[in-house]
Amino acid sequence: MVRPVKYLFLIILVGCSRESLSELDSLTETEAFQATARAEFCTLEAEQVKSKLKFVFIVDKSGSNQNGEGRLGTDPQGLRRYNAIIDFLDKAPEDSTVSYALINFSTDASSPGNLGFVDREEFTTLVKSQKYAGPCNEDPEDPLGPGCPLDAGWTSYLSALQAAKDLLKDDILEAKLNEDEIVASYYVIFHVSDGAPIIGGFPPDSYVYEETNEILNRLNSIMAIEDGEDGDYVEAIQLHSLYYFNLESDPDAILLMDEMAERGVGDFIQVNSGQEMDFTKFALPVRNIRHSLRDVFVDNLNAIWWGGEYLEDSDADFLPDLIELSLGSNPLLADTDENGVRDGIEYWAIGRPCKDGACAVSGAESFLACADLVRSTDPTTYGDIDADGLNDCEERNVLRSRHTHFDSNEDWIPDGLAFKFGIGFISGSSELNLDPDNDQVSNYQELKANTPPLFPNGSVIGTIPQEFQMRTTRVEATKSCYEVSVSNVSFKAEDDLYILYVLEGTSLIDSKRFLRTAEKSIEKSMITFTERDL
Amino acid sequence: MNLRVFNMYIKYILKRGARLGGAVVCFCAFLSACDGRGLEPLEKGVSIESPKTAMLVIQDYCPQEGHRFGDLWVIARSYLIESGQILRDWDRDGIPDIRDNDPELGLSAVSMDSNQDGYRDILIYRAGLTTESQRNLRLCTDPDIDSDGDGFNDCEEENLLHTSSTKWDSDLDGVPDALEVRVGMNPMDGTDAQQSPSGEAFTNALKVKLNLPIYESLSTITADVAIKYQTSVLLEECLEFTVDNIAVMEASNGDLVELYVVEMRDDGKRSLRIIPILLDKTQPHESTPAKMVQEWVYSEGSAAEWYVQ
Repeated sequence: MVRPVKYLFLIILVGCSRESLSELDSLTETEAFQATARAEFCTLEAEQVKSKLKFVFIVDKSGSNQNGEGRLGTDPQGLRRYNAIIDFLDKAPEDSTVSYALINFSTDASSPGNLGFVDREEFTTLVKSQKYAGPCNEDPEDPLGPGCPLDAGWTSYLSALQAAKDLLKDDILEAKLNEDEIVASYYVIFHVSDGAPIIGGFPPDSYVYEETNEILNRLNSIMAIEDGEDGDYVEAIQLHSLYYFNLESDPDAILLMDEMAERGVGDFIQVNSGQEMDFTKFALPVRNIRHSLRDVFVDNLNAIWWGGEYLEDSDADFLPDLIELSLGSNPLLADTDENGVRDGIEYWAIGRPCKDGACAVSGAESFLACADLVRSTDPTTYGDIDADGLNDCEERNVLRSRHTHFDSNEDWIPDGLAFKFGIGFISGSSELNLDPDNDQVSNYQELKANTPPLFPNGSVIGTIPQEFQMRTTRVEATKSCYEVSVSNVSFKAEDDLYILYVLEGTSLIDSKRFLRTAEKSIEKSMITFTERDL
Repeated sequence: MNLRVFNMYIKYILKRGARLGGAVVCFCAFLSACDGRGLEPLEKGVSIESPKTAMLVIQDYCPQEGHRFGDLWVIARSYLIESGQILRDWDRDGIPDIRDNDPELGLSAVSMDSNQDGYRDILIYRAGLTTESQRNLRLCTDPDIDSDGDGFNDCEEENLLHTSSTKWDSDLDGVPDALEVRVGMNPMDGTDAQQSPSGEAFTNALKVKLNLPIYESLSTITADVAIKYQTSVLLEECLEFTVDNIAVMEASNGDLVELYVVEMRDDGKRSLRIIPILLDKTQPHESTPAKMVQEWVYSEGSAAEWYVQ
C-alpha cells in the first residue's frame, strides 16, 4: 500500500494549506483531500418539540342523571360532572399544545357543534354551556348561574366509543394536511358514566344491555389506531373510566368500566355521592422534557462509495458522475428524466437511471401510484415528510421503506444514510453489527468512519477513515450540549456539501426519536456546524 | 489524537510524496495548529488533579453450583466522570452534586429520592420532569418492592421507565437496566450497547464497565480515570479480581462501590447479584497517601440476593 518514496526528502502534507494543492497533480478518481468538521449543538428542549396532548371527555347524558319517579338523579344539576371538568381545566397550566374535545352520549352520541379539539378557553365556555343548557326541574341555589344540563335517553357505550373513534380519525386526517412535518398527538379519553350500558327495557329485571364483547372490541379498535397505518400521527391513546353513582353501585357497571380502563391502559375510579369527582386523580401522561443524544454522523453528499472507490457524485443522486456518464444520465441533474425519483433510486430499482434509454423526459416512468404524495404547493415534486433524505415517493413506492419515519428499521441510522452506504434500512432488518466485507470493521463502524461496508478496507486506495471526537460541554436541567470534531473528512471538490445528522431520543417513559440535519460546505479546510444550522 | 492516526498520516504522505512536485507545505505536529488552518483536535477537558485512588481486591470468587461466571461490573457510586472532571455524588443518585440542587425538578444532593415519592431522582432528571409533572405520576404505594432486583422498584419500572419489572436486563443487551439508566443509555433498546456515538473503539457497554461517560471521547479527558480490571484464575472456577483506579472522594458518608455479578446458569438463564461495598479507609494494606488497597473476600457479600432472568 505504501509506494516507494521517489524523492530523498520527506514531504509532509497534512491538508494545512489548501491553496498549494492546486499547483500539484490533480487527484485520481479515487483519491480525496481531507478536512475537519466541527459541530456544536445541544439536545432539543421540550418547548421545541412538544407533541400535542388531547383530552376527550365522553360524558353521560342519559335520563338517569335527572330525577325521576321515586328516583333521585345521579347529577340533576350537572354539579358532579361539569364542575369536575371545569375544575380540571382551571388547574391545567397554560399550554398551547394541549386541547380538549367533548362527546355527549345517551341513546346516541355526538360532539356538540362538531367542534373537534379546541383550546382551554373555548372548551371551558363549551362545558359551561352544557351545564346550563336548559331549564331546571328545581330552582338551584347555584351562584355560578341558572340552568341545568339536558339529560335524556338511554346509555349507549357503543355510540359513545364510535363517536370517539370518529373524532380521533378526523383529527388525524387534519394532522395529515400538514405536508411539512408529522405532528403526533397523545390522546387521553375519559369515559364518564353513571351506569351500565342499558339501552332499553324496564327496571330492574328486564333491562336490555349492550353486549360487553362488542363494547370491548370497539374499544380495542380505538387502541389499535396507535399501531395502524396512521400510527406515526399517534403518540399514544389512553382511556380512563369514571363511574359516579348515588349510594348503591352496580356491579355490572363496575366490572365493565374496570375492564375498559384496563384495555385502555388507564385508571378506573368510582365515586359515590359523598365523594368528590376529581380528574386529576387519574395518572395523566407524564411528558418527557429531557432528550438524550443518541448518535452523530457526518457524510459528504457529493461523494459516494462505488465498490472500493470513493467517487464524485456532483448531483448527489446516489450515482457517481463517471457511472452516470456511462449510463446516459446527466451527472449534474439528480433526476435526469424529471419524474420525481432520482437517478440512483431508479438505478437501484431497475438497474438503469431511467426507464428510457436516452433518459428522455417523455419516456420516463410516471409513478402514478405516487400521485397522492405530490406537494400541493409544488406539483412537480414529492415531499420528504420524515426528512430522511429520501422523498416520499422514493420511499413508499420504490424502496418500500416508511416514508413517515426517518428510521424505518429503528436501528438509529437515518434511511437516506443507510441506503447510500448499502446497509439495510427496510422495516425489520438491522445489519449494523454485521461485517459483510470481512474487514473486521462492523457496518456501524464503517458508517461512522466513512469506509465502504461492502468492500474490504485493506484494499481501499486513496481515502482514509474519518475519526470522531466528542466532548460534553454543558449539562443543564433540560438539555445537554456537546462539541463534536471529525477529522479526516474526505472531499473531492472544494464545493462539496456535507450533511450532519444528529439523532436523539427520549430514553424514559416513551421511546421517541428525533433527527436533525444541517448542510454546510467547506471553508478553509473546516466544515463548521452550529446549533443555528440544525 | 493518537499514534495510530499519526501512522496513517505518515503512510498517506509517503504514498503521495512520490507524486508531489516537492513543495513542502508545512509540517503540522499532530497536536498543534498550523497557521490556524490545520487540524485542530478538540480542546482537552479540564485537567483533573489525581485524587486518591483505591484498589479493590475481590478474593475467592467462586460461582454458584451449576453456574458459570458471566461478568462483573464495579460501579463507583460516590462520583461521576463528566466533562473531563471527577465530580462528587454524595447521595449516590447518579447526578453529580453540582447539579443535584434543582428547585424546578425538585432534586437535592442529600437524597436519592428527594421528594420521597418512590420515584428516584435519577429518573426525574433523565426525563426532565418538573415538580408539577411529578404529581401526575401514579401513586407508588410500596417503593420497596423490586421484583427483579435490578435497583429500580416496580413503580419506577412500570410507570416511568416502562421496563420489565421482572427482568433486570429488559432489552437483553447484556447491560443491567440500572446501569443503562445511570449512563444515559436506553434500557428498552438493545441496539445501543454495541454502538459508540463518541466514535471510539469502546462500545457503550464497555464504557459502562469502565465507569466512563458515553458521550465523551477518552482523548478529551486528560487524566487516566477509567477503572481497570484484572482477573486472576485460581483453582478450578474460582477467580480473584483486582479493580484498580477507583477514585476516592472521601465523602462524609463513605465511598460506596457496587459490585454487579452476573452468572450463567446451565439452562441458559442469567442471574444478577448487586453487592454494596464501602471502601474502608481504616483497613489499609500496603497503602500510601495516594493509594488505598482494600482486600475484600467475596463471601462477605453473601447476604445479597440473586435474581434470575
